[in-house]
Amino acid sequence: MRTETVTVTNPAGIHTRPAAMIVQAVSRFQSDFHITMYGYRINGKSILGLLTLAAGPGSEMELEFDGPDEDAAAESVLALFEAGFHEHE
Amino acid sequence: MSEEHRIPGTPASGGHAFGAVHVYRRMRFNQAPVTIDPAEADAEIGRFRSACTDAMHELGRIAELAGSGGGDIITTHIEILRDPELRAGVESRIRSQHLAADSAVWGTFEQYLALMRGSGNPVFRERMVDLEDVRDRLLFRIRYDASQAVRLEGQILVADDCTPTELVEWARQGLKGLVLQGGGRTSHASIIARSLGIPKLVAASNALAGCTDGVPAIVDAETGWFVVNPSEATRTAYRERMAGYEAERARRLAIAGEPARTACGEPIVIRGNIEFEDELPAVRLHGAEGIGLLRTESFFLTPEGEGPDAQIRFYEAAVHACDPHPVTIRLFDVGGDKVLDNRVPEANPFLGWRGVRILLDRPELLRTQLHAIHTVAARHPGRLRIMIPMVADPGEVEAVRREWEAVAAGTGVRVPIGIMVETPAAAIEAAEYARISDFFSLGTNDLTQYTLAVDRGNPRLASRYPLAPTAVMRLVDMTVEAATAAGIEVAVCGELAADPESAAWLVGLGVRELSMAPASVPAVKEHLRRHTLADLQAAARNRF
Repeated sequence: MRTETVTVTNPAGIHTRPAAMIVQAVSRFQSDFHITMYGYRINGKSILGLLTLAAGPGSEMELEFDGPDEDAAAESVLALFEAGFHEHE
Repeated sequence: MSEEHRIPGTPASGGHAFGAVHVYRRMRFNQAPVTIDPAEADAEIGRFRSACTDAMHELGRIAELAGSGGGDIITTHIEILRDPELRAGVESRIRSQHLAADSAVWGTFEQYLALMRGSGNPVFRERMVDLEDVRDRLLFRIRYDASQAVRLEGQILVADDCTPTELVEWARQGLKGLVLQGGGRTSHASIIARSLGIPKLVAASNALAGCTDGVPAIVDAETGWFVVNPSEATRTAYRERMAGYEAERARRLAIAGEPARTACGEPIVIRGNIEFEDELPAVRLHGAEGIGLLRTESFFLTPEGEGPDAQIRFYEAAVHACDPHPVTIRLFDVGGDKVLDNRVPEANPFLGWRGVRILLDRPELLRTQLHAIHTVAARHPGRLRIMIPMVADPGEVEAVRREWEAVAAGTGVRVPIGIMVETPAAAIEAAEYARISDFFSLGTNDLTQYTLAVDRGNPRLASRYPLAPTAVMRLVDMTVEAATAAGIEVAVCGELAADPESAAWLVGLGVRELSMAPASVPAVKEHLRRHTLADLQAAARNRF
C-alpha cells in the first residue's frame, strides 16, 4: 500500500471536471484507490464520491493506493494534482 | 363509478377507436418504491445494466456531435454512469431490498442528492443538476424498456405527452388510440400518428384525472371527444358513425389507386413523407409514388444509432417498399425542434446549429451517410436522390458536393443531389442555387416560419396567419421560375402540399411534384382530378 498527502491548489477545487479526470486516470489501474478527507473516506474511482467531498482550494487529502500497480496509479493521480488539473491551459 | 364522462380534445390524427384505457405516466418520479419478487432480481439488474449501456452510447453520440462545446459535461455524465459505488448501490437495492430497477435508481441517486442538498455549498447546485439529468436519462431508459413488455393490443393510451419514438413503439404493440393532455396538432408525433393511422387527441385537459387502467373508452378524433365509460346508447351511435367513416375511408383508398393528374390530363407526381420504417407500407396503400422526403433523424432516437448498417437497412427497406418509384433521402437534419444535444443550449435553436451547418462541422457524419446512400444506390440504379437541408449559403452546397463527389468517385455511383429550399435566402437566390443543384424541394413549413418570423409551435400565433401567406407564395413562385429556367425539377414537401386547396395553387404555379404525409394523398389527388390546369393557373395568379 502506498499513501500520499496532497493539497488542492487549483482555485475552483475538485469540481466536476477535475473529478472526472481523476476517475478516468485511476480507473485504468487494477489497484484500489481511496481518499480520506476530514475523516471521511471515499472510493476514489467513484466520481460521485469525489464530488461529495466538496474539496475546495487548500483542502488536504490523503490518497491511498493498494494493489499490484499502486505506484503507477499513484504517479498518474499525483501528476494531475501537480499540474493543477491543467486549469490554466 | 360507471357514469359516462366526456372530455374534449383537439383531433390530431383522425378516426375512431374503442378500447380499454391504459394510463401512461412517464415521469412518475417521486413515487412510492415498487418492490419485486426476489426471483426477478437478476432480470431487474439486467434492465438496469442495459439502461446504463444504452445511456452511455447515447451520450457518446451526443459528445461526438457536440464536439468541444459540451464535451466536459457529457464526459462527467458518462463517468457518473460508470461510477462503481453508484452501480453497486443500485444493484444492492435491487437484490437485498427487492426494489424494481427504477425505484432502486431513484433511491440511490436520492442518497447522493440528499448529501448535496444538506451541505449548504453553492457549488453543489451545479452538480445536483448533472446528477438529476443522469438519473432522469436512466429512468427514461429503464421505463422505455419496460414499456416494450407492455401489451397495448386494442388499448387506448392516455398520457401527458409522447415522443415520436414512443408512438412508433406503442403502435408496434398494437395501440388503437391515443389521448394526450398536452401535445400539439402540428407536433412531430402527430404527423407520425396520421401516417400510422392512429386516432389521436391532443390538449385533452384532465384526461388523466378522469380515467383508470382498464376502463372502457372511445376516442373520437373526428369531432374531438374522449368518452370514458360510454353508455350503451353512445356505443351504438359510435358503431354507426364508425361504419360510415370506414366506408368513406374505403372510398378514399379506392381513389388512391387512380392516377394523379388534373381533369385535363396533366400528370402530377404525388409522393409520401416518411420518417420511420413502420410507416413505409402507408406509401403504397395511399397511392403515393415513392418517397419525396425520407427523414433520417430517427436514427438518433433509437438505441441502435446512426451507424452505416442501420442506415443501409433503412434505405433498402424504403427502396423496396415503393418499387419502382424513387426515394429522396434528406441528409441528417438535426437541430431546431429536433435537438440532439440539449447540453449546449442555444437561445434560438431554429436559427442555430442545425441541418447542413452540423453536417459540415461533423464531416464524418456526412461521409458515413453519403457512403450508406451510395451503397444502396449501387444496388438500385436511378432509385435514390439526396437532399441537403437548411441551406442558406451557396458555399454550403459546394462543400457538401465536394464530399459527395469524393464518395461518388470512390463508389462509381452518381446519385442526384439537390437542396431543400426552406430559407428565404435560398428562395431569393434560387437561380444561383439552380446551377449547383440537381433539383429543388420546397420545405414550406420552415420557409413560412422564417419568412414571417413566426414560431410555428407558438399557440398564440398559430391562428393569426394564413396557411399560405402571399409572401411565401411569391418565394415559391421565384423558386419555380428559377428551376424552370435552369431545367431542373422542383417539388414541394411541406405541409402546404397536404392541404388540397394549397396543393392546387402550387400546381397552378408550375409545381409538378408534391410530397406529403401518405394519409393526405387521396384527398389531394381527388381535388386535383376535379380541376383543369387552366383553372388552377388562373386561381394561383388571382392569389397575388
